[in-house]
Amino acid sequence: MNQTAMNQIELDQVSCGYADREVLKQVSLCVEPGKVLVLLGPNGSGKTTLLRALFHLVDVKEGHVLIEGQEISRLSRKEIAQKLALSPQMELPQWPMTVEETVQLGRSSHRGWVQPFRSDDAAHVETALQQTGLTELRQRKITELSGGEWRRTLIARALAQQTKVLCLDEPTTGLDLKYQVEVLSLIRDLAHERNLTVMLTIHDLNLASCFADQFVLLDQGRIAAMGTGEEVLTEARLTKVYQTKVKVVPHPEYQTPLIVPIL
Amino acid sequence: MQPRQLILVWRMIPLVGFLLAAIIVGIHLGAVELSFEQIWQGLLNPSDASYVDTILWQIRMPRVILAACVGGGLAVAGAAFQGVFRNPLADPFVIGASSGAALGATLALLWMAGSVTVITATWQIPWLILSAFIGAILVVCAVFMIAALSNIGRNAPLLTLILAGMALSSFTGALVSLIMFLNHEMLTAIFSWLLGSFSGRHWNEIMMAGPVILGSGCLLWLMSRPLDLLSFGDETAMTLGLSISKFRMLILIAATMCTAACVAVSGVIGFLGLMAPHMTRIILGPRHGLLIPGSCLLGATMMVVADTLARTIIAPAEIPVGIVTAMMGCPFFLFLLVSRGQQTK
Repeated sequence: MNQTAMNQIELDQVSCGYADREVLKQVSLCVEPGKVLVLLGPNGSGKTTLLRALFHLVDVKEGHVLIEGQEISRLSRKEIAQKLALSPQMELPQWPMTVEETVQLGRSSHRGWVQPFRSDDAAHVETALQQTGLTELRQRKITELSGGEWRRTLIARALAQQTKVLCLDEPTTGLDLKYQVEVLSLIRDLAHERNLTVMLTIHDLNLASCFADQFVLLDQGRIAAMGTGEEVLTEARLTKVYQTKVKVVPHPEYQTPLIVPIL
Repeated sequence: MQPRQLILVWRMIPLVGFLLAAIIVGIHLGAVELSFEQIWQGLLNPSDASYVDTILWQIRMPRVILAACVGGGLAVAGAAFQGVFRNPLADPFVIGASSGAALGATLALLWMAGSVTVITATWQIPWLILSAFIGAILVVCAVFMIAALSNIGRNAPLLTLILAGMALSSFTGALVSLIMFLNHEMLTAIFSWLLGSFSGRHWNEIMMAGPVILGSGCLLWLMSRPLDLLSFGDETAMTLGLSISKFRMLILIAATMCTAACVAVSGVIGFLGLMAPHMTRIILGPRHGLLIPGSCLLGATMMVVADTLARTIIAPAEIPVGIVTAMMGCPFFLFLLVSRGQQTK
């Protein structure tokens, strides 16, 4: 296997879904290391299900999900967790753990179930807390956090896993403008500088357009378009997929597509 | 270790102190009061054959130690069930262990009453314990099988388990009531077992239940990190590397064994397994690495205190210890609930 085939996610003709409803239909895509791939699409188009398939949280009915060339269903939970990290879209804190304890548990797959956490775990936790601006809040109970602080805690926990692939399900939901930009800049820097493979779902097309390298537009479980921002985010396609009239103009600063809904 | 965790570990020390104090006071109080001097001498020279020695080693000590074992065991099982079900209302009896034990014990009592000549008195208690234990395990197995068979089990296995546990508990509870109704003469024997007591328990009971409680308790302690991960929800626990079905099964089995052993030697003592973990969470935080040993210490202390009250408060008569735990625990628990509600306002 050559080097480019390693460290990457590959979905090959994947169909999957739930008991009576197929959500993803023959989806194929490849994510390269060092790139930020963004999954776009209306509610219910299958973005989260695609991420769930990647983590083997739903059974793949047809096709293959490959991580570093290995079939996902052959890997143990622990092996998956050492390769892929997920910051989930929604999670409810149950017991009042602290922010730091929550992020520390992101290190579990590296330590097993009995071995105590070590100083290098603490260092990774520290970095993740810094990167998400949570250093001051480390002793705060997670049941007392604001929506945005909890969102950043979930991202920090995924960062602490120190995986080569990072998946984020709506990482900017609930964040104010400052943290939306900070989180996305951080993710982009991690991808570009440390050669991580990053995949995220997001509803804000304009933020996606500024930060992502690759775009995948899902429509009713199928890939409607894939490629660069200019290729994917066209007026006609977005109007059709979102069933909302939009106008696409160049971003005043970066010349990337800027999507404006027409009311 | 981080400073916060170090502080929390230090907070365990008073819990150990409380338990030792409760044990000593428990040995001290009773129909014949033993002075602390006598206890000390008796502990140092166990060969002495005085009446003090007999009371100390044959009556008080085994009873207090058994109470501590059962209290600790129920509290640890409660913490584990609350953790694995992510439900603060779960207690050791949530998936049917208590009702199964009650049915087993009732059947044993019924059988023994019908055949007094066959079974000598020394074998009655071991029989009772064994059938209660088997009853508990059988009912929990039935609950598991129903949950596994049910179709919605794939999406909500935890909810199905709890619902199946409740349904089967009601069913076996009704069976016990029916047996009691049909056998008036045994009403007191069955009823007092159901309310829980440490009366007349000796080293034998400790030898039978102790190793099971200790073994399953230690196993649950080793499961601390999986329990922490499960608190984030099934899917997150999986993405963080936990094979949840395997660990959940292991935790449920260990907690059930622990509960069954406790119920078998002491009857159904309610409330403590629900309450002790919550109190421990307030003192030591929610991480299971500390919560489980902390709950064990606190549960043991509370049970020793409750049992001491149960046998001294209307001496020479005894009240079932289950009544004491509920009457003592309820106001305290409500106080905690109200004060916590005040904090969050």
